[in-house]
Amino acid sequence: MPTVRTVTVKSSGGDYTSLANAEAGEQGDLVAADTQLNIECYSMLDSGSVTISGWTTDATRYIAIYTPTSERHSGKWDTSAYRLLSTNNQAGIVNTQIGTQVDGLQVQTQMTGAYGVACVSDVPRVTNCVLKNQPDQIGQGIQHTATGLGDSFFVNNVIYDIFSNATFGSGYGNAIRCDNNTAEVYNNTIYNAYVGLMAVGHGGTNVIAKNNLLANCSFPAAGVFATGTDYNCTDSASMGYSPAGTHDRVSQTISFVDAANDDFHLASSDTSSIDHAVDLSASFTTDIDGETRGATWDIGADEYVSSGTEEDLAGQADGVSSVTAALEVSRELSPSTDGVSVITADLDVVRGLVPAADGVSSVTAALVVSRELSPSADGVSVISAALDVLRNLQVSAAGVSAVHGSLEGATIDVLAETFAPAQIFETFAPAQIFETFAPAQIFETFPN
Amino acid sequence: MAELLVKAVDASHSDPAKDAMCYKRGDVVDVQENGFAWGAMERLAPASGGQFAIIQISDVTRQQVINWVMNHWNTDIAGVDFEIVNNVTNTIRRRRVRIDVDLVPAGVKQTLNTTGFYSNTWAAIRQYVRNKQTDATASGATI
Repeated sequence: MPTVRTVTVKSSGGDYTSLANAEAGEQGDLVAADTQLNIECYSMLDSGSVTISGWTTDATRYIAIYTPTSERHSGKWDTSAYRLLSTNNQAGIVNTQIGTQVDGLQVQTQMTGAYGVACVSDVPRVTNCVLKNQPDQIGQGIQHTATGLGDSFFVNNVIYDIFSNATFGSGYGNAIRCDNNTAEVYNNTIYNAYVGLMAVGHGGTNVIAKNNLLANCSFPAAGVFATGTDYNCTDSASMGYSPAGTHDRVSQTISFVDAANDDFHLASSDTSSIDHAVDLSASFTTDIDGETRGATWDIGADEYVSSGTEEDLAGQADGVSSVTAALEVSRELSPSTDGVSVITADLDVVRGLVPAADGVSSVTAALVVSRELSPSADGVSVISAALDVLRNLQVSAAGVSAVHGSLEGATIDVLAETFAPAQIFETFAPAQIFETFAPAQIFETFPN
Repeated sequence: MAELLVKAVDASHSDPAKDAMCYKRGDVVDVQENGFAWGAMERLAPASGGQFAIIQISDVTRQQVINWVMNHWNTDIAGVDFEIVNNVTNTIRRRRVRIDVDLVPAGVKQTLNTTGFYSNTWAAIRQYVRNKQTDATASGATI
């Protein structure tokens, strides 16, 4: 196994201040060094084109450029996440190296009078990216025209505003263009492109496309694709490629969350793509948001998930360090195994945050907790409810050292611990306190 | 004022075509305003294993030297300026401009090697700046 070297690109405090500088500083022979290089890009605006060339790489000793989950877009262009804005009239990322991977980036090209500039050129593996050209300029999204860099794998990308015109025709304005290599093109969402998917010169053997969502394109696809190409969806009357897939969906009404503002997540009302894709879990299992694909896959980069998390977020294996629900958790966050250290629900926890295993050190609900925060295992050190606790903060295990309740209405039942007065931070009605605490303790802290 | 991130160590490749895309000693990799917070690997002096040196020119702006980070394009290819399908295809080599380290006095080289930083005026530094296309050194009072 090659040694893995990881460097960071950050606006401050990292190894490099731009992706281009990282490429210059790390350039070398990864094969001789038996090294696979990771370049982690953190939230920032990175201005400048990147050319990855002059290296020695192979299929296992390659360059992986990615954003950590915390620094990544959430499936739509995000000005607070990492984004690469190309130098005027140059591509965003151009690659000549075997095996290069790009994952989770946002890339926009700039053009003034040029044409054909690509967001990402000749990178064999492009996943979970948001790519767009400068509006009204003639460019490309992902293009792969080189040979010998490895099989292409273009998955879970959102690509939009990729224009051409009558003069240049389908040579440009290709959201994904594959001229060489074997290519797998799966679950991309393409909007407002001249040509969504383009296969050039393959003779129907190399490029297979499945589960792609092609909306508002002049031509959803063009060229001869490999047998097995299927399950693609478009609002146009025909897909445009050959041979047509038997499960392709044409003339569909495609509903995005907010296409006018470039949010191409599937709307709950969508009937074109939700649950109409083929399961490709042998190749990948998540969508552009990092969410696990459902039992029945959706077409496009996004797997539709209702705003509430309807199923349990229950860590079922050791080693999970964090369980987080950003919106509504309508069932439990209840890890039942060791190793979870933080459980957090930002909004409404309708049922319990009930760790039943050792090792949880913090349980927090930011808004309404309508049922218990009641750890029943050792090791919880802090329980906090920021607003209204409608039911108990019930401690039945040893190790809790502090209980915070910001408003009224909660009872605190301490079944296994004795609290020193200094550890009780909130004001509760004496009647509630008397139930649990010895008067001597309470009178010291909360005089009537 | 401007700060130039200059490659201090040659990269090389046995394939001449690939070697042309390797950064060479003296290539200006990046240009930023004075006082820019460079990254740890960008600040690491060559004597400590770093790849770069930072040269500060005290009396020019970033905008005046930003073109030094442009690659050396083959402008003989018809339409190259307006059909950049693949940047590499039309690139002769990295960067149009380099700092000719061979012209730099030994004392300055020693400073760059050990501290990774050197500051001076345009008048003092311009004699080391070389155009890769013409091989001419810079001249004149301004850029």
